[in-house]
Amino acid sequence: MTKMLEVVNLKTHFYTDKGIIPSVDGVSFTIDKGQTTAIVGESGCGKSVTSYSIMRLVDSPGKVVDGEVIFEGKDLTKISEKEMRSIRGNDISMIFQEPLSSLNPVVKIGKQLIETLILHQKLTKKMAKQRSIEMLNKVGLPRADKIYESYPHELSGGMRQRVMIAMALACSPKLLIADEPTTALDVTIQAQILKLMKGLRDDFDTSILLITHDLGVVAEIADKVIVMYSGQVVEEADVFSLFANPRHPYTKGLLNSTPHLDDEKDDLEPIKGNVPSPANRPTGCSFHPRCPHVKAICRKESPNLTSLGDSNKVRCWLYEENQEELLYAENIGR
Amino acid sequence: MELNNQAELSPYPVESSRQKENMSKKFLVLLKKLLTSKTGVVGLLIVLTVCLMALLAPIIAPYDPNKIDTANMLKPPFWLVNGDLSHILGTDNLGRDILSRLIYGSRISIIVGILSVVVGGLIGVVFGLIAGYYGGIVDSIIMRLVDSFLAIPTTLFCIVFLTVLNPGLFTLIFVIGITNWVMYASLVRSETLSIKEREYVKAAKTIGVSNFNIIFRHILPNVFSSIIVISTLSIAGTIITESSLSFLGLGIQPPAISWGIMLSEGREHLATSWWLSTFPGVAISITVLGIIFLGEWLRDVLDPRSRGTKS
Amino acid sequence: MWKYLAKRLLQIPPVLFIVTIMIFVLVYIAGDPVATMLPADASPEEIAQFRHALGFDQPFYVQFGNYILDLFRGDFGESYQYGTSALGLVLERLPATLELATASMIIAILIAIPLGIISAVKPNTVIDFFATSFSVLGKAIPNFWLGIMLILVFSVTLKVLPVSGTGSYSHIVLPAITLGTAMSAEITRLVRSSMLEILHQDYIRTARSKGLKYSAVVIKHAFKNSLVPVITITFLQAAALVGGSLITEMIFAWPGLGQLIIQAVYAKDLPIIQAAVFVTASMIIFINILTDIMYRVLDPRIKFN
Repeated sequence: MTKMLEVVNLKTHFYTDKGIIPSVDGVSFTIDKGQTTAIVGESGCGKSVTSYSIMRLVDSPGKVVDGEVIFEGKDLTKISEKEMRSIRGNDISMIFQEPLSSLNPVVKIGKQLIETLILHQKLTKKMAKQRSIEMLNKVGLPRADKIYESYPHELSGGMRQRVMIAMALACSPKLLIADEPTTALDVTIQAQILKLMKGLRDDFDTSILLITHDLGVVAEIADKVIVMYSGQVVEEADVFSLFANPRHPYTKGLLNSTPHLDDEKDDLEPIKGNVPSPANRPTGCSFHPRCPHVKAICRKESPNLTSLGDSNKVRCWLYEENQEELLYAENIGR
Repeated sequence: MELNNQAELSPYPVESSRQKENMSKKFLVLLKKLLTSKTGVVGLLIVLTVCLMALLAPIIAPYDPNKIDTANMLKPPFWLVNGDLSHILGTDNLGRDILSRLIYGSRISIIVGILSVVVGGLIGVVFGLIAGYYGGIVDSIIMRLVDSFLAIPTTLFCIVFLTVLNPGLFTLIFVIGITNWVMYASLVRSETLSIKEREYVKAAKTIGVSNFNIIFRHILPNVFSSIIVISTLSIAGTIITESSLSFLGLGIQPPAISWGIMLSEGREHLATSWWLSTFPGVAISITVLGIIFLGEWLRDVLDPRSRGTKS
Repeated sequence: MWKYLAKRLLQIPPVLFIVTIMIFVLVYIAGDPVATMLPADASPEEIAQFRHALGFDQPFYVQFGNYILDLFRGDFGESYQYGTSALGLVLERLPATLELATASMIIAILIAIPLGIISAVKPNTVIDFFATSFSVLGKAIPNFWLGIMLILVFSVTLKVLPVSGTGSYSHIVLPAITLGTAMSAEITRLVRSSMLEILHQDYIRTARSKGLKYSAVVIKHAFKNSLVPVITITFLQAAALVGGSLITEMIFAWPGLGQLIIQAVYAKDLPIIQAAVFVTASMIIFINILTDIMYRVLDPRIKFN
């Protein structure tokens, strides 16, 4: 499979009054062509910042301090702002969590739609309008010409998100980044939007990077899953092995705390404790205060993201090959 | 805002001892916050200086401000040729010492500024409480009255009134105060409207607390911090209004000293002696600036809703 | 929209009525002006006759009734100074005041909007410091003093602009700056604070994610949102301009309504004052309604009801 995007050791730090906050702390992953890759994690784990870093939309005081984002042979962190602008909305586009606040309230839907087309595809206003109405139809909006003339507040939440998707896909991007696209929507609408995204991915041959905290959404749409915790990738696996055989204790915890319709089990097991604040992360493995399998070494040293033979990877001392040796060394040390 | 929250949660008036303890604690917190805001400190220093000047004028002024000295007419400030340190900021066309006149002039600004805000505040708060609390026809009448006052610019209103009334300090305070009440009335009205819907006011009503008691014990204390903020900021406006009116000869009458009078007297000598009309204006501007700084700082601290962008 | 408009328009008569009462009461308090209008050596009979002719010997309510009747005919009486219709004199002077107000509004907006936008886009820079200082100083400096200082610098010292009067474009520069500065300060402040808030909104991020230039994002997406509060405050400030023009016109001998009012005040020419207050109040009420409507037209989220 060909790589669409490769993120290598990405670090995004926020320079606040309280010190430097490493929001994204050395994240690496790849997105394959035509695939849906999901980044999963609780709020504050750095998954959204990762997506903004790819788009170079991190606002001050945040800054990408290290790492590479390779897209079509170019490192997006190094190219000029002008070059980056020609990629944004054209090759890589984005949809956001809150469709209401993400659409400009005083600009008509149509005007917001044609903007990208005129900018990147150099269409005339008339052609852009035609294409926009086509797109609105494609995302399943009835009476597209009426919506074209509407303001965002006149539409429902689901319709707004459809508009956002139409806007994002207008230039047939190669990669669509969807930051919690269904979180703000009703459950029934969520399912519709996911179905729409799946359909469009196949029609437009677009790769998707999906940012979510909802494992239900992941199961629905993702091919590959990246689990993030505290600014780092803790597990990377294809969707089937992740649900069938989660490796990292955090992933297991996430799965156990998610309700399943078909499950006999009534009681969910929430993960004990809270996500550590990025400004104040524990030493060693940052999950160790909440981990049921914590060992002495977990408190001291951070494990590496280790490949498990297949394409799956995990960052945990339980899976380090030389675990025995280390444990031994640890015992000697004591 | 701890105090407010507490009052909101409890259906009964907050105990006074606890309130006192909280007040002193709150004061300390305020003071601490003040010291972290540069403009707040500058504002406070300016306001304190002007107040001290007004209070201690007879002691600190080097000359009698009305003493005419024909030997030293239109003497420039000390750093210019012919100027010397006996008259630091020079003298006016009658040889009166400008610095002394500035120091005495602060008295009028402070007195008129504060008292007219008090007059306007009292009228406005009462009308605002009544309009907001009782609503209905009373509210409509008061609001139309507010609209009518808003339709006449402050300066025009004052000028017209001062034409028919006898000019003087108390007329001036009264007239400027009257133009001010509208602002307090609309503020207090809108806050009263929201406070009277809160649970503890409803609870007080159901247990038969009189309207008078509800207004004064439950509503007024909650509007108080907004009133303080708005009053402070509007002193800036009243000082400017006073100086404009005195400048036009409709406010304070000589031999009383006002920065506005000094400006209008100095204007006639603009071509030859710039300092006559420059220093009073600087005095007004600095005083007003200090009050704005202090008022904005108070607003940031007391009123978390309107926490604007820090400047 | 028409329903809203009708409701707003219906609020005008009571407000104007209250304004009228206020003016009348004022005149009533002032007492009759007969004494000042006749020569000092007029006999008591002459005075009584004159009072009767002008209706000043009538009881309060009759005087008020007559006053209202006259008002409906647009008759505020004749100016004591000029002997012609007071309303006519006021309307004659109005264009000059409107000219000055327009010029100062244009100056104010031309300074405030770019300054406010740039300082919001580049916070904590030199230009931002300049903008915030300007917005505070503009409020703290009394405009009549600013006018005097401008004369001192540009007319007396540099001799580049005329001290006062009318006749050429150069005459309007100083009074317009004097009048426009406070307004400009207020608008700068508002543009800055609303832009600062808007630039952190989600839709700005969306616009950037489309690949638009930052300047296009700022102008097409952000500024359009801050237009609503900016236009509202500009119109409200326009009402304040009418008040501010009083002293400015006097200082620069600008032959507008303000100068007429000040002269009438010194001459105790009450008919002119009444007519001027009435015309000013009507104008301000009109501007306020216009502001309300603009506000609703500009922000599609606000409905007319």
